[in-house]
Amino acid sequence: MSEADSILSELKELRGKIIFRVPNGTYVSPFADDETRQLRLWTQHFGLLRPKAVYQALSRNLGETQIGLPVESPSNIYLHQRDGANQCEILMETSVPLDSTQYFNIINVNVSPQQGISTGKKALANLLDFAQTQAPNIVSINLDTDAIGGYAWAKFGFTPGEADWQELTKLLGQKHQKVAAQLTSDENGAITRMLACGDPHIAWVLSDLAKPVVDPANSERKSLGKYLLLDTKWLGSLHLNDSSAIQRFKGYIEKLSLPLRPASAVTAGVSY
Amino acid sequence: MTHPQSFEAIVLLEREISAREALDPKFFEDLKKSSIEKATALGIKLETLRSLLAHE
Repeated sequence: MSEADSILSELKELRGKIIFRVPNGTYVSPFADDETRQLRLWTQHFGLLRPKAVYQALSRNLGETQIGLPVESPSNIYLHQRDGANQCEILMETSVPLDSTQYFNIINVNVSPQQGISTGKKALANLLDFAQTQAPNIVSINLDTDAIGGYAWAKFGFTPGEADWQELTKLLGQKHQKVAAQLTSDENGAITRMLACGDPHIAWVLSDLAKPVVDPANSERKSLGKYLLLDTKWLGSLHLNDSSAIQRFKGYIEKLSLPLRPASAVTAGVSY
Repeated sequence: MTHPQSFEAIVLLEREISAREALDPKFFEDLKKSSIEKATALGIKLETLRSLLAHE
């Protein structure tokens, strides 16, 4: 059996789980019998990777999962995962096909607002594992921190790009000035020095700053790291060849995928 | 401006991060050591860093 035949055979087995997304946004396969078109769309996204292996990797530890390949926008992949009552949709943009690309761009993470806490993180952990084991040419997973905020992504090992870091440090410098009176002169000097350095990895250090400060905007007491980075927006990258980044990602994401709190707790992403 | 639903997610995720660190202090200590290495390389005093990294 040729590789093309094997892929088509597996796509047939996975019908309803690997689907093709039509322009109006519904998940249906308008050309279920058009094998040539299915094969072309699959290989545009995933090269010669086998559908079963891809599906198993991305749905691991999750319940009902659908991988949607948009017909009109072949560079975007929708990963729609339903874990019991929990739902998560991750919109990914990739250079195509995935077996020769250099990155995943996660455009959005959308988790059902009234449901559990771990689906999105499990999906991201699966994505990292998939990239490391089946798509070794992928060197980074990128995402816009607008979805969950810059504090968490810095904690998880994502770093801003150099241009974003320059913009971010300007904003952080302004925020720092508003709480400078709560810090010692040495501490203020340290923050200033960190913000002046050109290394985006300092975002991790900033996220770890646990000294409490009172946020002048709302009088809430929070860690300096949260005060500085919470709600910041930047394009972040998780570099797969950076062991420190992977340690952070796995340490937080995989452990947080285990229930720390009752499943009725809420985690949500933005809608799109 | 962050979407309100997204802001709620940010706050809850931040709480989860705090819970994770509280449940496994060694994990967080290891991260802090890494942060100390990065910051001391910039010439920042260890004592100052420890003060900034400490909860209280």
